[in-house]
Amino acid sequence: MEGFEVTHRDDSGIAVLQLKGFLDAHTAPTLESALQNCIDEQKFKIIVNFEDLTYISSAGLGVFMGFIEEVREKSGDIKLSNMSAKIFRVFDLLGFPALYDILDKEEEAKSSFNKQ
Amino acid sequence: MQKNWKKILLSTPILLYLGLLCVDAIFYFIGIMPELIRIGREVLLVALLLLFIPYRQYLPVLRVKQVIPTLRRLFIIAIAIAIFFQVTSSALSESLYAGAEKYKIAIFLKSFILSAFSSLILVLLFLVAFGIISNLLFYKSKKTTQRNFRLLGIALLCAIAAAIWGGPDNFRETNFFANNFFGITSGILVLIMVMNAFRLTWIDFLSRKEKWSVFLLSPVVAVIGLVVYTQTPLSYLTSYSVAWAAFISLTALFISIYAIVCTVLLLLRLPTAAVFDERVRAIKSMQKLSQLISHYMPEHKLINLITEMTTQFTGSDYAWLELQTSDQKFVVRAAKNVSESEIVDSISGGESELRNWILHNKQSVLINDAMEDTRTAGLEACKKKICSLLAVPLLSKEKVLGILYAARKEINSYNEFDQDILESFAAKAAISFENSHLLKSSLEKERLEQELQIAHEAQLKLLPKQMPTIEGLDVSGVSVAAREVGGDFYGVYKKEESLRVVIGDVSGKGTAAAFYMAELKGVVEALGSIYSSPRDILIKTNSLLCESLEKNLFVTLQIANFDMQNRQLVLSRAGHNPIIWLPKAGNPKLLKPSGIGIGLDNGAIFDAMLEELKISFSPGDYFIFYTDGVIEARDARDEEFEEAKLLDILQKDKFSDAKSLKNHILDNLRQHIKGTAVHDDYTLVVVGIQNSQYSIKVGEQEIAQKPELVG
Repeated sequence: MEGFEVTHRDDSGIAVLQLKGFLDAHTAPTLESALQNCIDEQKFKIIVNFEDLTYISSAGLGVFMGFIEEVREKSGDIKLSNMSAKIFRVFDLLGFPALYDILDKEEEAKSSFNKQ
Repeated sequence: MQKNWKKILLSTPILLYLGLLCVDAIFYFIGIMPELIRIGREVLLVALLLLFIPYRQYLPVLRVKQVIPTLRRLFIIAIAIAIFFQVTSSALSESLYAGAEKYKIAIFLKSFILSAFSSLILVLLFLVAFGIISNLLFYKSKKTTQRNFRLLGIALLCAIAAAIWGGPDNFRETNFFANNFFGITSGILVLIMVMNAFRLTWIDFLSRKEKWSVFLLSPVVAVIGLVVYTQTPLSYLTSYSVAWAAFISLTALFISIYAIVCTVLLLLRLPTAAVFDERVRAIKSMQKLSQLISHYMPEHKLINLITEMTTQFTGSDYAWLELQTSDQKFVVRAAKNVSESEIVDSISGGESELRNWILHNKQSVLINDAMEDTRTAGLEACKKKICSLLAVPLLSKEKVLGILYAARKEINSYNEFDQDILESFAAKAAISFENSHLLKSSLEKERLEQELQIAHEAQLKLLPKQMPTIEGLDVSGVSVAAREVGGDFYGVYKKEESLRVVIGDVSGKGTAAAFYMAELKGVVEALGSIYSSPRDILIKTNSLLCESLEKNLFVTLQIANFDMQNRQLVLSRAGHNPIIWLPKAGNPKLLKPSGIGIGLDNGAIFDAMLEELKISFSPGDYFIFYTDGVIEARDARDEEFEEAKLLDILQKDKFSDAKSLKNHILDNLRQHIKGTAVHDDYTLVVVGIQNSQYSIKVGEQEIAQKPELVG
């Protein structure tokens, strides 16, 4: 089984989490703690870049649901970007696009944050 | 045959003895015995002596192997010899061959026969004594033991031969190393005796008490040996037979030497006997603990046992054991001869300096004056009672499981040996704790497995046991959990002229998912009896489940009504994998009305997104419901089964009924995941439309009803 990695970047006040590998029930806690760190640091504008993610399971999807409410209450958001077609299909099937900003490119996510 | 030989061999000594007695009688009455006959008679007596040796195996006294009973028997025989020797010597003091001629027969009967019998008894007693000593010599014998003992036997025979050669007078007057055969041979024999006498291995295995009693009794044996040795040459024995007298006196000498060496060695060992005992006790405690380790023992019993044994084998006044709890704190779990509060107040309190030292250094501590040592500065309450202290960590892979303490009232009362022995005891104790934990957790595991098995069976009951039959429809379904229990769910319900198929998947797997699955079933079935529209049921289900679902969990659910009256499928989908519609003619299609998963949104968005789709079906059509476990099933190379492959299978083959179609998919799926574990729960339900009285009306139009916003 492949591993999973989260790289944290800070781009002018926006936290960017770059995901890599295999996101399932076993690796979800890594992403959870990365998101929790952002919140602890009072960073509520979060972009999650899916470019290098190869797989996501339902437990992986659940991670975003666990945080979105709190982030939005603090007038922030979690935006998702750079999904492969396969990953997007998983999000789409579940109806995520109705609830989350899912963008093609990280830049678009940034500019949509900046517009607000 | 062999038995007969044995009988003959064993009866020979008796016959020989009686024969010799007759010869003696003849020569007694003749009055003179030629030198050659005398030597011949003595040689035969020696042979008689040797012939008695095989009897040893019939004597229980010689079969005792334990040291103390052996010594006790030797002592009793020595006393018996002493009494018998004194009594017979004083009774038969007159010379045998010098009697008044006229009373010859009377004297023969009184003296000669009596001395012959007494000699025999005494020789037999000495043979037994010699046998017992040889047993002691061979206790934990080495290679040289056998050799030295043989040497002793040969030297003894040589000395007896020399005594026979020299005759009675020579025997009576000769000292060691005197200038004749007997003097020289007996001198050499004494040296060999001394060499053998140092085989006293058994001394070390005596307890202190036993050492004392042996020390007090062995001089008695030594004195008896010496008396017999010095008096034999002058007694009736020499008159009867020089060979036997030599055997008796030399054996008595050997017994005496052995007893003297034994006394001296014991004298040297008595001062250390107490320490030796203590060490033996410590080793025995260790053995006992090792034995106990091999049995399962509940932790609280083990704790008490360890503390109890610590006081015993270290001879300590107090002992106690503190163990680390799951939150890294140390708690006194057992205390012997000291109250828990007393120790907590002092040594084993919350922040103990002594404990911190042990945790840091992972070494044991020996404190011989608790008042002086800075690490026991907090020793207020115990000041008067605890003066010496040993504290040893229970280590397991560099982790301190706990600390074992032993204490005494006197200062300077422990030494490095005590520390060493307590350390090894603690090492064993640590292992037994580990074992106890392992066993406990494996028992716990077994119990959990049983419970999961029960849960598994309970969950199976939540799935349809039998498919409802409805004219014109053919249904087949299967659900497989990755673990004992899972989050997949399906249900097939008959409602008048329609059939409702529900399929759902709780995110995640295992026990948590299984609980929500059970809840989901209850909710869907309850709502299904009230509402008939799949969309209505889903909306109500979402609003009910959103309350109880955890934030990061969601449920995908799909409900389809097969309306046989209107030959129409009414379908609504909450984030679930789309149904595959396999028309009789044409390619498979994915039916994917819009809709988001349950638990993602608790109201407006969910309702707004949820569509209801209506499809007209015809005989020969199949509808395939499945969960993500089917298309995401991974093979050994982590490749997924994939939707495209599923569609491909369906397109290529023709099927006779729902069951064969389901089995066909399952066969392909199993082929795909062959050799790997099932990663996720998977569920598959196939509904086939059969030929019936309903007229065939091909309807491919899809009517998507845009939902109204609720609320």
